[in-house]
Amino acid sequence: MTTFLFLFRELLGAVRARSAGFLLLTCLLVAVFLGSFASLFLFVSPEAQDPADLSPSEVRLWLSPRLTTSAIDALYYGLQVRDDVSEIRYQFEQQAGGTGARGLFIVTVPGTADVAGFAAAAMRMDGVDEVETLAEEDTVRPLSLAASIRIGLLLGLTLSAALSLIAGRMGFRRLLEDFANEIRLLRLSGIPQRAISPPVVALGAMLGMLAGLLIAAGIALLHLTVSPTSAFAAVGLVEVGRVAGILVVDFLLGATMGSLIGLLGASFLGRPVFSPLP
Amino acid sequence: MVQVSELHFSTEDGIKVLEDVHLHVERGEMIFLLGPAASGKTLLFGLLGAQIPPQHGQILVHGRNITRLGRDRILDLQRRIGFLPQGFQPLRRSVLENVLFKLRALGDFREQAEEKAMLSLERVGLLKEQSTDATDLASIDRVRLGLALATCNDPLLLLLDDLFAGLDASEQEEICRLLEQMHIGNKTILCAARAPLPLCAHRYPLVRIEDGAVRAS
Repeated sequence: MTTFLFLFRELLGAVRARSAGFLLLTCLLVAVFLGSFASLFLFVSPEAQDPADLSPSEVRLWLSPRLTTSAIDALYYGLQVRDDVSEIRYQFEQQAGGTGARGLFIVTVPGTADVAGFAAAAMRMDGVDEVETLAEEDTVRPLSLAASIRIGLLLGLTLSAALSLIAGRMGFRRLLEDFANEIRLLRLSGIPQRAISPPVVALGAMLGMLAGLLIAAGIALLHLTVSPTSAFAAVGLVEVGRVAGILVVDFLLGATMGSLIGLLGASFLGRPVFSPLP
Repeated sequence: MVQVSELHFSTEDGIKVLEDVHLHVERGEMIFLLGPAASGKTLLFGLLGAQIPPQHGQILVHGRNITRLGRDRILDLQRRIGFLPQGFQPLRRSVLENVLFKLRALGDFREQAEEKAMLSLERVGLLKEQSTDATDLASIDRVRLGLALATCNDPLLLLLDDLFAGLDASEQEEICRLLEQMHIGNKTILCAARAPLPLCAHRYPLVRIEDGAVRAS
């Protein structure tokens, strides 16, 4: 452990301008990769619209299973003559999803302002078990991702992954070249390859975790600043559970991606240039 | 201490680099291996230092047969051998930090490593230069630093390849006297060099190597 920590610190100290640019670029590309990944889950499309979903000016009346056909007819005609009713549609029990109700009326009122008054009146009607209106939270419109944006994100995901591997490879090659004399001395002194490689992989993992933290901070900031009622509030951004889950997955993905880049870098250690003898 | 018998080594192209080499060095003995460039000295040292796996023959170092040692035992042996390679390049850091780097990498804590590093720098006469950037050192001081690095973890065997390269006659003599002092400490020392050797080296056994074969000793 002492050797690992010592070599890790020395390797960090060996980062010079020649390698720092590429390593920074690697970190940013991993961040782009993680950002694209997170966007696919945060800015989700809404689920397919249920045909029975209410519009803001509709009220759903669930009918008691005890009602006879004639009682349903009577209720229908009673609603039809009301001033605050524009239209009534009846759905059978099966259409309503077989909930045990006798069926339901979907009543359209003249304006959204009439919804509350009509719903209160409907609650008092005989044969109506439940009254349903469009809840306020349901008015939040999820941002849907257009297919082209989705494809763009997937392309960005692939491209950033490939570019981060390339930039990481170049960064680690330069870093290890700057550290070559040290590596030769380590080899000459009997320090095994299994002790020299882990700090390189750990440095890669650290870059990935840094990128993960960067994106996590961005997502957390969005989550805190976007109002749930805002028209731009995507479903994924306002759900705490989803945001937390994506943060964790993003961080782990960053660490994995960084470790892969580190492994790619450690593969350079087998090159003859690091051999201790001329 | 070091026993080499029937040692052969060929390149991938089949060119023989070492041919039937026999060598015997007693514990605490200092010998000079003399030979021109490309005579096989560096390869022989690489094999003795367990840095290059042998092909044919037997190499016993400190009672261990290198040809039969497992990976971990090889690493353990490498830690007990002080190796100063040909064309030694110091690290881009201070003289003290050069020695500390090796000791810390071998697992020593800072205080312990500093104590050992100071001792080895004092032994080679580089204590006053401890803060100097090692890449700014004169040739002779680079050799001193190489010796300090090779001896800092108190190895059983010292392999010094092409030690006098780049030094003038008086500097060679000075380094040779430094080796004598180290040898008083009863270290086994093998030193490869090209002719002419400094005068003081002639007081010690000399082994000549040419075209990968030991010609005379």
